[in-house]
Amino acid sequence: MKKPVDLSRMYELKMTPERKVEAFRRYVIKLKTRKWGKSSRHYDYYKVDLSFFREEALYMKDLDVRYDVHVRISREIRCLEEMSDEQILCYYTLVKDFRKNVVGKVNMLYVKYYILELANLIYQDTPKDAFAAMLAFWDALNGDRKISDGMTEYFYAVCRLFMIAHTEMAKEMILLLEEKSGQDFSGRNFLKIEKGNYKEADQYVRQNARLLKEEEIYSQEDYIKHTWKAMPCVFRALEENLKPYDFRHVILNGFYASAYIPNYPMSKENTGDKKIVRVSRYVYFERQSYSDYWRYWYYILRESVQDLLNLIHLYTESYMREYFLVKKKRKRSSARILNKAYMGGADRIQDVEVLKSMVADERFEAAIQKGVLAYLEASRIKLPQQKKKSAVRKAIEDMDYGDRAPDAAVDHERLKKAREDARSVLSMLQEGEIDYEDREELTEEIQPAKPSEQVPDEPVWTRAEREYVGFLCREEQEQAKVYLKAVKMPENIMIKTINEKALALLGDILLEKEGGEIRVLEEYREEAAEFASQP
Amino acid sequence: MNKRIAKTVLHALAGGTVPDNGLQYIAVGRKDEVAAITHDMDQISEGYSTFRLLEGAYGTGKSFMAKLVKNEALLRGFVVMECELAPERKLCGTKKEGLETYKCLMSRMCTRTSPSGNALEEVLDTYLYDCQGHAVQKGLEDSRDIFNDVLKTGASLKKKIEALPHGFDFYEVLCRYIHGYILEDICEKDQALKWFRGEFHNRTEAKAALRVSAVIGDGDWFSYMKIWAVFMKEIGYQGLYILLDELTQITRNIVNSITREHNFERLLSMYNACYGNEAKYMGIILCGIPSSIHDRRRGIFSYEALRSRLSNSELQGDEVYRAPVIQLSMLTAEEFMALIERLESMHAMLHERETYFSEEERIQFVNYEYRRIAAANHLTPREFIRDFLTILDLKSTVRKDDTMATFLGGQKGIALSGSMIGAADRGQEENGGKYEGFTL
Repeated sequence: MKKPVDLSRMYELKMTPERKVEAFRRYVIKLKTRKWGKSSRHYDYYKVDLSFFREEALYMKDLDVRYDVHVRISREIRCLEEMSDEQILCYYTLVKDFRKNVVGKVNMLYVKYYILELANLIYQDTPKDAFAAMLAFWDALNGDRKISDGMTEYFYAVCRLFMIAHTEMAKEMILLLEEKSGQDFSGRNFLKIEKGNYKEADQYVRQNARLLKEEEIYSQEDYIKHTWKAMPCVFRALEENLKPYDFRHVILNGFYASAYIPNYPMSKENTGDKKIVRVSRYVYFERQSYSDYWRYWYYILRESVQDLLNLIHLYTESYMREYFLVKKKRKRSSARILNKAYMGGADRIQDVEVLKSMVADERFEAAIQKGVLAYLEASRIKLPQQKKKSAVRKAIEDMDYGDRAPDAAVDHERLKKAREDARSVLSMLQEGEIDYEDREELTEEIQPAKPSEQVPDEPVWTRAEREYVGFLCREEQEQAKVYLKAVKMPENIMIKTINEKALALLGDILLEKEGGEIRVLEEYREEAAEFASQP
Repeated sequence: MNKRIAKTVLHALAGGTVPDNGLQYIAVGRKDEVAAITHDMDQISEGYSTFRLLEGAYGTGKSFMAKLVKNEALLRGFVVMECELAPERKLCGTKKEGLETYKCLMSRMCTRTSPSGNALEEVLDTYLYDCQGHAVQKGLEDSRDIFNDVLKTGASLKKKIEALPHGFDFYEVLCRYIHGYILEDICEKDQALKWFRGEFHNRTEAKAALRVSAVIGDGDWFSYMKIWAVFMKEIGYQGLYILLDELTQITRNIVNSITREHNFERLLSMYNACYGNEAKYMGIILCGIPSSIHDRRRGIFSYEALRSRLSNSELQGDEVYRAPVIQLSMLTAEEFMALIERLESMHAMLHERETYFSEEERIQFVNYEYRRIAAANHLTPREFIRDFLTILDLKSTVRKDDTMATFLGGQKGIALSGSMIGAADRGQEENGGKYEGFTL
């Protein structure tokens, strides 16, 4: 039996690369007993916790290896554990060159992974260095080659998230990125949204929305409304869910997961454009919610904190004024900073810090919530309907899960009809002869039911029946059997006769055969004793 | 309805199960279906046979409907046999799966006075007790004489049974049972019961025990069902009702196409027997999810002969009265309203109150339920009822002064809706439901 490996010690001892890879694998397995396999169709695959991504990467970052074969990689990877041994060796061989900004002929999936690592501060200690490394690497990558649109989009999206995670660098980054890309990173088009110029605003939102096919899902107007107006609530909800995590890394990993997850394993069949999801519906739903979760997150967090504050200001102004001017008169400097942040942007780092501490204040949150809810109520926002024509929607149609529920709105005419129908069902059925509506009869005493055809009007208990029930009430099974023999009455017949009478009196049977024994039903024990004691 | 039934109903519903009795008080939105079934029952007692498929998506109330049918049939004097099909219980199969179904049906034979099953002995004994009583009234004392008299009384029964396939064997065993009953030979009686239940493995065993060279087998069990139906009618019941649940076990869950086809053939012969009047006094109801019927690859409709017979006419629309396939649709909001009114009324009766909520508050509850996460596809009566009963329980005990709005998580009348984050929602609900209105 193998002894457990002391990994940190092995690392120090400079083991061979192959053994390091093996050790790393055991380390990961030891850290987490994964429920999921490598197959993307596995149920738990999409639940993978990416919080270990950074730990793994940090642990492996200095792996000194030279593996000359360029190992192919065919799908996007989210953490090292998803790579094969050869791929890991190949990746860290490449990384050595990447870190010197030397990029030869390389599979872009390795590059993507490296960018993600850079953004997560694997190779640099400070965000500033990391950002500089990202830009330098991007320039080197561009060099004399043509980079695909998807890759470019990916890079800028990571930059945008990076910017949000390190707001203190935002200004500097915006300038650099706008100069490099020609895209809008500052959120200035937000003003256009406020003026109701949805066309302009739509362009702005679409710019980086790589996950949604907007035309299929929302109208422009709805889309903007939806994206912007829901922000504060979502943001807050997310924050609460993310307490145990290092927020910045989770943002980036989450984005990465969101980019990956929507690629459901679907197959196009030759017959038309119909797509079939090969996985079960349940798994699909798991993925769907997970994907949406990250997707919203992505939407919210890729925008600047400044925009968020602008939005909050719009809806909470009056509440905020009340809070700062009436209840907290002495905090004028805070109010000034906040006001400035709303209107022009927070320039100084210390202002950002003040803002952060204010946002963390419970009362501030309460004010925001109040304002947002009031706004939502006033404007009666209708968030967009489920998309109708997408392949994903088609794929989940399953005849066993029923129709979509009808409208919630209760129509009084239809309600009247439903009540009448229910009443008529009652009258159609045999027991329904008893008037349900008559509350007077619904008293604690046992009400004699209106008898059915088989039962006589007033059942009379014979002496033998009373005696027999008496034995059963006292749980004297043997005596009951002896008694039946004495009165020459078969057991089945006796039970049937008593049950018939009980049905007429109680509306239910009294005796039940369980195994070889006859027992009085627990619910009617009192009544049984009463019958047995009748003269 | 007495308090006890109300208590039973509410108790079962709170646990998410269908109550054993009192179902008619909570049957809403099923008027047409109930009318169709009661019409069937009338037909059966007149000597016809019926065959229906109850089709409904998960959670639409198939089990509820089946139980309602069972209770109603029992009240009307039918003998009911029920069975859930399973991998080891089909209509036919290479490992005697058909016979297993027969055994299951026999062991779950119910009458009005034995609703939980195992009523075969009771049914036979009751009949014989009456016959014996008549014989004794005639002044007969010797067991042999009584036995002969009972046989004589049942001459017409003999004729009718023997007219059916396997009738002679059946009647022979019945005679053994009668003999054992009157002469109090428990061993003989038990052997006959064993035969009736299909428990004999081969003919040799049966011949040694009962001198009958036939046993109930995988291929002919339905013929015996026909005999049982006639027998039940003759001894005073209205007929025989057979309820088979989990139809999907003989459709989609059978991978082998030949086995599946054999089962469909058996189903076809059952259908033909019912409508060809070969079977009398018998009603058959099969319950299944839509795909077990409509799936053109593995469902019943993949078998053309059945599809053409069972397809509902396009002209009939939503009418279910004559349709071989009764489609149970999801309850509408109004029907849910009617349902919760009844539940509230029952609850109020138990706790001696007038009422709990106003109509507006009930509407608010219905709207709330419809706006829940994935309600469009997943809202079932089970969840709906459970939520409402929870509120009623709270209202009647610890939160007497709360309104519906406060129960629904402090929405304060704001009609929040649309898609947000499901996980966040669930977390919020536990913390007081600040964002409950947001659904994904």
